[in-house]
Amino acid sequence: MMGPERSVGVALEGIGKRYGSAWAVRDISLSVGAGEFLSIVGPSGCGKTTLLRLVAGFVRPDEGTVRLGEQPVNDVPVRERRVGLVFQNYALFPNMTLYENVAFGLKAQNRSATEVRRRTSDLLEMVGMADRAQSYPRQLSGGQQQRIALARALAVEPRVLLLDEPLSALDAKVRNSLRFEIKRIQRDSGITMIYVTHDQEEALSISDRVALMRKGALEQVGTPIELYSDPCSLFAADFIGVSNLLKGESDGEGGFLWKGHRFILETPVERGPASLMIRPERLFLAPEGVAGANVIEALVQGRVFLGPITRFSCNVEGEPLLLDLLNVAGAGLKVGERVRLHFEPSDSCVLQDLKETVPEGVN
Amino acid sequence: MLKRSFFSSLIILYFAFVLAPLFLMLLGSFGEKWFGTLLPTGFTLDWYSQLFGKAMYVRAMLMSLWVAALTVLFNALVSIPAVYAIHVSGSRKLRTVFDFCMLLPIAIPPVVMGLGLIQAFNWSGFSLVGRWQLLLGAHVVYTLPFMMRPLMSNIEMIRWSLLEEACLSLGVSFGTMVRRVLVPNLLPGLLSGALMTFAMSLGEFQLAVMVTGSATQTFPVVLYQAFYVNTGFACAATTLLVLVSLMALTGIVLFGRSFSSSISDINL
Ligand SMILES: Nc1ncnc2c1ncn2[C@@H]1O[C@H](COP(=O)(O)OP(=O)(O)OP(=O)(O)O)[C@@H](O)[C@H]1O
Ligand SMILES: [Mg+2]
Repeated sequence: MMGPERSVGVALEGIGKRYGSAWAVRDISLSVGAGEFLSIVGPSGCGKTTLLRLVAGFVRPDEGTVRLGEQPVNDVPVRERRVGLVFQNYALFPNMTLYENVAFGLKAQNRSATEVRRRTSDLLEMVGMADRAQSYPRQLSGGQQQRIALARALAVEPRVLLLDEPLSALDAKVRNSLRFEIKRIQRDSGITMIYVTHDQEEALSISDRVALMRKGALEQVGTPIELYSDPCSLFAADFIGVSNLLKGESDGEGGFLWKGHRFILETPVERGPASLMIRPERLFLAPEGVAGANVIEALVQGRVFLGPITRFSCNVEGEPLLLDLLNVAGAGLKVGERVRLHFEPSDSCVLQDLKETVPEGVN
Repeated sequence: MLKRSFFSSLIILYFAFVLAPLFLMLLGSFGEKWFGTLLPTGFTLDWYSQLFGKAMYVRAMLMSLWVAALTVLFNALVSIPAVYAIHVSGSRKLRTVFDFCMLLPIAIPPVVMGLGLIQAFNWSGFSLVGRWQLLLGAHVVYTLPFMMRPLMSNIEMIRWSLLEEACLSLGVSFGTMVRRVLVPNLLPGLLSGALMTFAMSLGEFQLAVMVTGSATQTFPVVLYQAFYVNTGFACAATTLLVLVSLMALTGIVLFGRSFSSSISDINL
């Protein structure tokens, strides 16, 4: 019998996987600490699922090494990896009750009957499904099925839990509550989780770190705050959150030229074409009479109410600029109004998207 | 309105074609004489007592049931691994071969197959022709697609490859996976395949008439011969065949239901 072992970290060392002549993922090096919650985000087809399946062992890397803890597992079959899986479409066993679904893996491990019973009940309790133990999967909603899938995967005490878009088939409300429940379970059990999602907001809200993928490669890995406030490329800035990207030019002396403006940068960057990123909530209305360098005249053209904030789209000489304002008393702009927008140098970020010229062939 | 009455008359016509002959057979089996009249005349149970009285007919019926039951068994034993392998491999080529094989029994008339079997298994000194084993083989080959097809759509519908991945990640052994997950979830397909192939084997005539001998004749063969002897008797034999067939099929359904009640919502 396998004793309960603490969860372990995962290390990918120069991983590559090819389908035919196209690389699904290539040159991926990434390490996930024991007990860490890492999300993988990226556009469709960028290789998220492939990466997860490499860790699970369904796919063998053509290059590189996968390690669970210290152990290289390239040659270890899925059955022996002790890596749990939660799928987008639940994949519960339709012929078994919820109880049997959760108990199935434990029985396969030849645990004692009392232990199977105790652990199964504990897990059903943990995911809040104890009262439905005797139901069949088809009698449950998607959210409930996913809870059972989670319990089933955790029952056998995997060393790492992999989740592939577990919430994307659910409606927004359930998705929102379940994501925090997954986070809670992860924190309580201290298990290492790798969580694939295409929803960057979901990733930012629950992860310790986020890995952003693009065309089979890692674009940026970091904490949610790092990714949000300090994206490494245009792609990252565009994918994570909402941003204004002003295409202009750095003058090499701490200034950024855009449509006749010269914005002051926090730190000078090399001369050349670049983009300046400013998040919509980092733009402010400039107080009357203040004439600073980082002030832009704009015309309010549209507004979208988003609950706590309103997002205004402003026009600056034909370029749209987004501005978020909190919906507090006295705030708000009228469409057609002329405004002066202002941002702090530290709230902007110059991006020279070197990766834009990545050689093709990386799919 | 017009459309509706058109469709209902189509349905009535359909039932008339299916049920009228059966009904006439039933009438005929109780009639003393049926010659030159629209309906049989007189009432008798003689035909049935003759049917059960003669060893030859009882033996033929038992032979039919035996071959049909084994046909279902062998079909299942061949089809489950085959369907599993094709599905799990995910290979396009295998799938194409599969689809092609599914067409064979429709494309090749049984009479051609029967002749081929006689050619292939009839050597001087040793011949399989006339033995029930050869008929069994012929029936398995002939009905196999009708077992494979529902199993194939079953395994695709339950998205087996995902269930298998779930099993693997739980560390479940292959044997346990097959016993506790694969087979139980294939029961609906197995059931409809069993119904189909059992009924086909039980009523199959062309192959049976060619490859069986006097000791191994199946019921449809003796039934056909009986028609030349006596209409009433043949009617009774037909009625019995239909009855046995219906009973067996009901039995298979009930048997299957008792196992697959939990997944009875899988409809094929
Ligand atoms: N079994 C396979 N055979 C051939 N190509 C594959 C296979 N699996 C994945 N690919 C290719 O590898 C690339 C990455 O696919 P992958 O499924 O990992 O993307 P993903 O990021 O999970 O996308 P999504 O968000 O749509 O799920 C894609 O171009 C895909 O076409
Ligand atoms: Mg995917």
